[in-house]
Amino acid sequence: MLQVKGLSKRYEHVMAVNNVSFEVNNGEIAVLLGPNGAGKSTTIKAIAGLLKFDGAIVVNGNSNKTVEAKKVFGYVPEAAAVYDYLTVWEHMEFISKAYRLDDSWRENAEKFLRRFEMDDKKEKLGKDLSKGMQQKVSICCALLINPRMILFDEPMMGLDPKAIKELKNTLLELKNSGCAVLVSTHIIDSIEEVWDKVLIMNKGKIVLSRTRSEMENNEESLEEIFFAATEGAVGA
Amino acid sequence: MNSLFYLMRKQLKNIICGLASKPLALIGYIFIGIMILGSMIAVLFMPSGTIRHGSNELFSAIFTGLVTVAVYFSLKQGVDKGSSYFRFADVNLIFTSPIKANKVLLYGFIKRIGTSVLIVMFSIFQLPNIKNNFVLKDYGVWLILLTVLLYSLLSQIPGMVLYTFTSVSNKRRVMAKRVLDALVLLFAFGFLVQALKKGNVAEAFVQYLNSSVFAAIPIVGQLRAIVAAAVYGIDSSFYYSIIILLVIIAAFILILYKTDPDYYEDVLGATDQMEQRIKAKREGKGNGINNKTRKVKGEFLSSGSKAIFEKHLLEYRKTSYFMFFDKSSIIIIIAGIVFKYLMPDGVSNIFFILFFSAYMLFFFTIQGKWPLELEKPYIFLIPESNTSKLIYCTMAENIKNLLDGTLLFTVSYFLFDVNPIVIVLCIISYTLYGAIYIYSDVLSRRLFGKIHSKTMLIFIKMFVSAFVVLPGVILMGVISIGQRNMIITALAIVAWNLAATTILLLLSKSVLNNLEISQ
Repeated sequence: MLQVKGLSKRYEHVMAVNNVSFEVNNGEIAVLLGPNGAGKSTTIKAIAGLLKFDGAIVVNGNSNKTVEAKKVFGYVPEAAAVYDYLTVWEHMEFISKAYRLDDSWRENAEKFLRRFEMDDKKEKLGKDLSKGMQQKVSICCALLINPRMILFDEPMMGLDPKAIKELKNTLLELKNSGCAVLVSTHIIDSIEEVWDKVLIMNKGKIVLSRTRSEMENNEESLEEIFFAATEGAVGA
Repeated sequence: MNSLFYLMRKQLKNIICGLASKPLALIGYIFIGIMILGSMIAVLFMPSGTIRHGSNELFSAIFTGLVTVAVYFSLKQGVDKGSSYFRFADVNLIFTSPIKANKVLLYGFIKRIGTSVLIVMFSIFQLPNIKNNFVLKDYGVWLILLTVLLYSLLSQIPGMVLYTFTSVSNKRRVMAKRVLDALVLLFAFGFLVQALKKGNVAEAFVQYLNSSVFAAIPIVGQLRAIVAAAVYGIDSSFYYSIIILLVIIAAFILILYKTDPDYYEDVLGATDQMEQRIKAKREGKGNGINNKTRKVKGEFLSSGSKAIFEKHLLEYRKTSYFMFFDKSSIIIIIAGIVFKYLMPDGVSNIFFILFFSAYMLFFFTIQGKWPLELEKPYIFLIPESNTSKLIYCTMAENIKNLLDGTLLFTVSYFLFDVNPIVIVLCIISYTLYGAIYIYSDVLSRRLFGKIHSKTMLIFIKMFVSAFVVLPGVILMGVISIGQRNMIITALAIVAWNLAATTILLLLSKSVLNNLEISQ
């Protein structure tokens, strides 16, 4: 579903992402794990088409910046993206219209808002929501388009424990429905139970890639390989 | 205090060193510096009163009016929220450190001096205007700058002091508000009486603001005496006023320290508000403290890119007074009318209103809705063609400019004796100026990529816009010299603006492919 080939991104004098390649298949949860400044968010933003980059990113057989690719993927940014002067429900309505969704969007929007306990905040303006609530709206917007591939950039930041639990369940449901999921995080515990493939990034490069079964066969823990990889003891 | 000086020294050093690593920004700042220096040299050597000889009373009245309004708003802000010299970093790191509160206050005041010097430097750009319209003494320019410096230093203090008295109880706050409201009514009543007596609003304005009542108001009276010396010449009241102002500053700081050594809590609200303002300015969103929204039930009827346009319509309905009519519409219309009366008789012409309002429109356009879309991912994510997204994303602003232009030039029709066709052409030109600013902004982003300094970004947009707009103005000037037909002159500028807008739009159409999210 997602193929990233030789992705590089430079910010002035800093090589934020350096020749990164990986794939995420349908029904797979891949995790980009790495310390602060490793290049995770830049990678996710480049895949979402928000940045210029060198290399190739293919979503469902189309370049990520094409209309065809954009129809099938959702994105949850690190900093919640809500409009100050739209209510929560108007965000849902806007996305449904902009993505030309069919009439079932209302039912889905109600379901997602209820799930993230936002159903009683439908009439609240974006600017009047707390950071955590704004993040929930961002998540609901991304889920509403019924994505076949979804990108989460540090999605747990600012969420309360109930929302974190719901988000983890959502990730598993997305996986079971055949959706390709890519999550970036630096908090190992937050994705321990859900991941299928881990891509550990450091200084703009993927320094280690493991599937869950490979790790279980080697009797390694995620924390062990993370520290080993970011401190240079394990090769990719 | 050593640690606070260390902080100031290091911050200044890092700003300067930071510039060295950003050559484009450095060139920009050097350019701004040269412009300020050039303006200062020009203003010192240019003759005074070249456009007209505005009376000394008018000069004094304008400054008195400005200072009175500014002091009123400082006090009003003081009652509501207080004022602050501090940033959040100061609150989190310095307020919690074992440094005496009076030293922290002094640190805030020293920081304010730095800001005041910057304000003085930027006010230099306004000096040629003043010097063209009034006959200043040789040292007049320096006295105007001194007044700006003193006002800028003083501006926060009345609000801070008032807040220490009013924040104690709601009763005091209500009382202070009522006193302020009563004062406004009293001054308005005084002006009304004067206007009825004189039978001429302009003369009443000048005479009223020159009355001894204003001389008796602390701060206002002293600043008036100092600035008036720029046209009347220095006398003893000038020296007294400077001494009194310095005493007022010292007294206010003393009062603040003696009566409220625990002032930290009092400045938190204002610091928060200032932080929001700075953030909004960095993001090009005006003052960012627009909390008033109307409850409007919105419904999206269109799909695809059109939904972005409908979203903007909905946002305008929530934040404006009526349709697209908001604060910027009022400012542009009032400024246009005031500009007409500021122009000397015989020179005044509807095209000056067009150019002046087009100049103001530039600053409103850079705070418009479309750049805000680049801060959210949706404009990039929506699965529609980049051209249609760009057109619908900028459509609401173009319509707003058309409606604002219609209002402005309908009012102008009654002020100038011109053919209605010229009015229609001015409306079209005004709308096209808006479109040029919008699409040259788009193009600037494509050409210059991501520029982090908002000031630099504004200057770049200004130069790109000027580069596109100026040939049209020159063309119009040449045509108007050749022949006096206003319709043909207006048509020339419409034709130029239309051609420029079309070219800019064509060059920008696939820009979303080359832009990056501006978070």
